[in-house]
Amino acid sequence: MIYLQHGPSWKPKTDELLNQNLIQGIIWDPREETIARINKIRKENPKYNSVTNLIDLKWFYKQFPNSLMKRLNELDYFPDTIIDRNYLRNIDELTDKIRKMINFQNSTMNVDILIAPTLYMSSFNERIVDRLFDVMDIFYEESKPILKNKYLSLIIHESAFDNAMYMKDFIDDISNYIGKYDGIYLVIDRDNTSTIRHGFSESRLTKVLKFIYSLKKMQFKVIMGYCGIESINYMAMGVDAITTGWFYSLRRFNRLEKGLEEYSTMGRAKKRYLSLNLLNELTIDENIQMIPDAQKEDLYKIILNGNSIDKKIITQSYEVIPMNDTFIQYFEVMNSLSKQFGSINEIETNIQKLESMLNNAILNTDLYNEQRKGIGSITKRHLTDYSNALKIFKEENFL
Amino acid sequence: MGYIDSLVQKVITLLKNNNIDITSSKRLRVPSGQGKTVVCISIKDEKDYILKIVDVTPEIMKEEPIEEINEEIRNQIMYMSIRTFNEIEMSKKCPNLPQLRNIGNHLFQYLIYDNSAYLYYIEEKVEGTMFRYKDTYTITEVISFLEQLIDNIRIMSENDYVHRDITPSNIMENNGKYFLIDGGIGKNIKDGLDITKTGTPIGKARYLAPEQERVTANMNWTFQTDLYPLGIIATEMFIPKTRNIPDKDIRDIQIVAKKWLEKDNSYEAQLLFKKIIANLLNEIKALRFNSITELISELEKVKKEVIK
Repeated sequence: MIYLQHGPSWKPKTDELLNQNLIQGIIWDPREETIARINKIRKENPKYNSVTNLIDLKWFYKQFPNSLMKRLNELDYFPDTIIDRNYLRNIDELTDKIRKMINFQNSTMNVDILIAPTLYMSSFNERIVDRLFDVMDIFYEESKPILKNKYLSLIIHESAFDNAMYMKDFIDDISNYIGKYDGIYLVIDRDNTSTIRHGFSESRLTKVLKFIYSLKKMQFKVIMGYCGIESINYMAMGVDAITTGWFYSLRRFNRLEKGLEEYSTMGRAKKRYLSLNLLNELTIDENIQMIPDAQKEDLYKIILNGNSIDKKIITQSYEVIPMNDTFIQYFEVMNSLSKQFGSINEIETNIQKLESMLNNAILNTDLYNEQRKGIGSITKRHLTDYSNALKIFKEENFL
Repeated sequence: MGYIDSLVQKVITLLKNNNIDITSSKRLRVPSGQGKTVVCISIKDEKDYILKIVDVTPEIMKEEPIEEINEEIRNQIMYMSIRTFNEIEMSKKCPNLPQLRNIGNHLFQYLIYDNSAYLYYIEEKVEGTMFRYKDTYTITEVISFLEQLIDNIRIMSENDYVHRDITPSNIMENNGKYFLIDGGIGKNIKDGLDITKTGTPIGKARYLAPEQERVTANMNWTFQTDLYPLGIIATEMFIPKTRNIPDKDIRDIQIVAKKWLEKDNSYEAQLLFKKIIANLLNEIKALRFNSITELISELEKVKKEVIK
C-alpha cells in the first residue's frame, strides 16, 4: 500500500491523490499544519477518512536544541525543556506527556492507528535506547484501554546499520513487543553525502533489508516512512505500506533537511518522470524531451509507462506541463509497484521479481545511455546498489 | 555390600512397605550430575520401572551428625529437592516425558539414611537407549528425527513447558523413535518460579540457545528456546565432521552453512538447510519460527519435496 507522507502545500495534491485512489493512507505531520485545519478538511471531505489516518508525533524534534519546531510548539505533549536522558528519567512527567499523546491521537485526531512516540537513534547501542524502551512500555500500558491498532515508531540514522551486532541485539529487544504492538512505523534518516539521487550504500541497504525482514518475520506490520524509489526493496521484503510524498524531502528523510539541525534549503525542484522500465526518475526536459527526434520512438518505448501524463510529455512543452501532474504520475507508478509486490506472499518470489526488474532496468539504462551517447545520460548506480544489496541479503539469509 | 547397594536395599524395603513388591533390581550406570542413583526394578504383576534415588543432603548435615530433623534442616532438604520437584512436576504435566508411578499416595518419598537425605521416586521405564550418533544420516532420517523431537516440544509447549536442556544425552532412541527425557531444568512459562539463577547459563554450553547465556529475571521463555539445540543436533547428525568442531564454530550459522553445502549441495539438502535448519539456528529467538504449527508445516513441505 502507498500512504501519503503529509508535508507542505498539501491540500490540492492530497485531494487529487484521494480522488484518483492513489493513496491508501495518510501520515499527518503536525509540524507542517495546524490540527484544526487538518480536522476541518477531514470533516469536509469524507474521502480523507476513507483511507487509514495516522499522525507522526515528531516528538524527537525536542531532542535537538536547535531544531526548527514550527507548529509543534503548539502541542501539549511536547515538554518545555529538551528531551534528554535526564528528562526521560522523570517517569511521572513522561507518563503525563504520553497520556497527552494518546489523547491527542485518539480523541483530537481520531486516527485509525496509534503510534508510540520515538526518540532519534544515531546508533543501536546509544544509551537513550534504554529510555526509548521505557517510553514504549509506558505507551503500551497507558494505551491498553484503547482498542485500536498500536504501532511502535523508530527513527534511525542509516549509519546505525553499519554495526550488525548492535542491530541484532536491538532486534532481539524489539521482539519483546510482539503481541503488545501490532506494527512498526520505521523512518531511516538518510545520509545526504551521496550525490546519486536514489543511491543507497549496498552494505547499509543489506542491513536495512535484514532489519525489515526480521520485523516481518516477527509478524509486525511495517510501514516505511519517507520513501522514494528505493522502497521497491522494502516492498520486496513484504512491508505493509510505504509512505511517500511529492517533494524529494518527503521521499527521503534527512535530519538536516528536516529541520533537526540548521540547514539552508535547496533550489527549485525539477519536473520528473518515474519510469518503470528504468526504475529511475528522469528529468522531463533533459532526459526525455531533449532526446533527438530520430531516437524518440525507440527511447520513448523504454521510458514511458502509459501514464496519464505521457501524452503531455510527448505533445506539450516542459513549461506548460503542470508540476502536480508529475506528482500524480509518481504516485501512479508507486501504486503499480506496490500492487505487484503486495500480491505475492513468498519473499523468495518477491526477490526474484525485484531482481528481474533491476536487471531489466540496468539493461534499459545501458540502452538509453548508448543511444544518448553521453548527452543527458542517466545513472544506474542505484540499481547496481540495490542489486548487490539483494544478492548479499539473499546469501546471508539463506534465501 | 557397598554404601549405594545398602541404600538401594533400604529403599526397596520401604517400597515393599508401600505394597510395591519388587521382584528384581539392577543398578544402572548412567551419567548424572545430580547425585542420582538409578535402578531398574521389576514389580510383581507390573511392567519394569526405573527407581531414582536423589541425594538431597544439605551442607549442614554433611558438617556434623544430626540427631533430629528440625524445621531449618527440613527447609534445606526441600531446597535441595527443587530440581527434582521440577522434573516430577514437568513429567506430570507433559505426557511425552517418562511418567511417574505413585508410591502410596505420593509421587515421591524421602529417606533419611546414614546422616544423609534422599528423595526417591519411580518412573516408567522407556524402551531404548541414550541417543548416540551413528556414522551417517540421510536427509530423510534427519527430517524424521526433527519431526519427532518437534512433536515432543509441541506437547511440552501445549502444557506450558520449555525443556531448556535438549542435548543428545537427554534424548532416547528406540528403533528410529526418538523422545526427550529429563525435564530437570524445564520451566513452566506461566509461573514465575525458576530453579535457575538470573545471569547463570543453564544446560550444556554447546547446545544452549543464545538467550540462555544471558538469562534475565523477566525472560520470556517460549518453545523457541528449545528449537535452537535441535538445529545443532540435526547439524551434527547430518555432518559428522561438525561433531568435534569447537562450540563457537557449530554455533556460527555461516560456518555451518558452508559445511552443510560441502557435505551435500543437492536441492533437497539445501532446502532442508534454508527452510528449517537456518531458522532453528537463528541467534534471535523470535526469528526461529513464530509457532510450532508453522515449523511443522514448513517441515512437511520440505519432506514432500525430498520424497518427491
